[in-house]
Amino acid sequence: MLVVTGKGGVGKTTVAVALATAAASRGRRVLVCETDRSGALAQACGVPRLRYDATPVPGGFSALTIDTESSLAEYVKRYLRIPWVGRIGPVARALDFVAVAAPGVREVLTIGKPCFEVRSKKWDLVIVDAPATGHVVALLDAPRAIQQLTPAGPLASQTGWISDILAQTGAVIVTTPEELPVTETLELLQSLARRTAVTVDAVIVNRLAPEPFTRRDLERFDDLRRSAQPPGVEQVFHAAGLLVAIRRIALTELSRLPVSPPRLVVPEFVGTDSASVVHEVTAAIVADT
Amino acid sequence: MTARLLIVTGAGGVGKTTISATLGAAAAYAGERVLVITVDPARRLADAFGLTPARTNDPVEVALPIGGKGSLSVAMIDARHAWDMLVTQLAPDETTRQRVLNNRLYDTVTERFALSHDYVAFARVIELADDATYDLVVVDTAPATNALDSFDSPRRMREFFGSRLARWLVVPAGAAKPFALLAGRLLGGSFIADLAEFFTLVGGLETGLREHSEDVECMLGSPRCQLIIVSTPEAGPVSQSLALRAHLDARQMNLRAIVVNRALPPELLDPAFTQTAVAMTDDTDPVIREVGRAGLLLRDRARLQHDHVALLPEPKACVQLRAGGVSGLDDLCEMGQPLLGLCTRFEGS
Repeated sequence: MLVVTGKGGVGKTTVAVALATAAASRGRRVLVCETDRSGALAQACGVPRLRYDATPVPGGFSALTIDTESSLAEYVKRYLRIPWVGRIGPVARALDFVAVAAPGVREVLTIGKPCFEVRSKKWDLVIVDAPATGHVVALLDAPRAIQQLTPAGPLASQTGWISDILAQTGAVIVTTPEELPVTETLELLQSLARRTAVTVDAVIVNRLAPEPFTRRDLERFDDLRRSAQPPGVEQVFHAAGLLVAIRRIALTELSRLPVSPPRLVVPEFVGTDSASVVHEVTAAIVADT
Repeated sequence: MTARLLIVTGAGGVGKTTISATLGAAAAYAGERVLVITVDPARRLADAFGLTPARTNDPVEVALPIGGKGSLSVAMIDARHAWDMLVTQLAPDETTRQRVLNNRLYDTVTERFALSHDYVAFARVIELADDATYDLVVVDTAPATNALDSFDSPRRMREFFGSRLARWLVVPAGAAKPFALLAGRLLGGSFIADLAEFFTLVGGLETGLREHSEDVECMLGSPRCQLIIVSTPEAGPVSQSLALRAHLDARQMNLRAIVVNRALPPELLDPAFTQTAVAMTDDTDPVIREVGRAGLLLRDRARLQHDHVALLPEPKACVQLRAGGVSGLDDLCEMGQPLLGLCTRFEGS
């Protein structure tokens, strides 16, 4: 199992789909699970919608979206053998409400689904398009939280095998070369190490702007810029300077990341549809591995 | 209440905190008495102001750059502390107060119920904006919550604490029996007993909370309270901003403007710019050719941004990307110039 996380808006879903496409093209049986019901995964996979059950998508892999209600229904049916599963709706909403006070309940129902898929042995790789940095630790730490909260509860007795799967799970943190995403990546690396058994395999740096000039060009750039220029040309120099500055800020932010886990850089693509962006990101990831 | 309120909301990562600080700094520099208030646990506001104060529930005054005519204060709210204050305020008697504060689940509920962070911020705004100390109060909403939920927080708080579900837990009967049975089988009886006790206790606060949350709702809907949606000129944030705007319209809340953060300079879209840059790509000097190409690359990006921003309805204002980043109040005051019009007197004040 591989968990893909990172700050909101850095391109987690695109990277999850790109990784799935890359693995599928090498003949692996791959499943991608969406955990936040945002619908972003369906869009990145190029299908109108996803269901709670795995569905094949155009990239050569399968995908599903998790909601706690279906997850609870499956859990109840499988383990508790309570017959009134048809009426799970209101009960699930009530449980959602209890979940506010009970750390780990909603999370264990969410992470339980991909773990269950791993256990089914139908897949070579299960990718979890996990929630943003702030919530992913709670998700991966859920079995322990449940143990602490209700050591004697029946849900707690079910968390053992989930913990075992999580102990063999890898994670990929997606970031962009900007201040806040990098800061959150550093914080996440610490809290994952402290509170979970998950190993971070790589930090994927998404949307790195290209380097417009070589160092020698840059020296001449400054000389040329200082020499008298017509106002129009000065504006273009200003724009090129801005591009250089954007790149420089990006590199400064990147230098704050630790040497390990390894870093994988995905260049910035100006694309209008998600299919072409996924295609480019996949190519970049395949080229780098 | 005498102060005008600007509530800053928007998708994650767009720079809500920076824009809140920018609005506050620019208005203060221009002569207003301003308070900027946040519940952000990451202390980003302190960083934006170049401050390193301890978490403070009470406003702290910040020195403006030379030439500043007004005053600027910052309050960073500790959600937990604000909750304790709210319980103290709403509890009918000392025994109830003590029992709520000492309940085993109180910490978990107040810490994890993300909506409550915005709620307590709004609640504190009512207190702070009530006297004549400030002309303008800028509220930076919590980063973790869904912006759409944040304005529903008063109603959701009422629902949560006055809920039939809570009563189901306390006295499971009739239709509630299957729920209590399932919850018990999932989580164990002792946890459910704790939870029932918590909701019984909180039930004692219900009347106070209902009135209080109605006050908060009333403030959010009043004409002196206006909203700023922060976006960036990219596809994702723009579509999230449009969804947020539709939601605010449906709730008849007052939108002041959409602020587009980190925009590229508009000169890039000038046809003369393209003409010059294209001519440069034919220059004999390879570096000049490269500068021309870099200019065109940035122009392409600006065009894409322009198409995204064009989808956003008026009123909107742009804050330009700063190559050197944002450091300190001088930068904030300067960046805030295009936003000054948003801070000046608006209807109802």
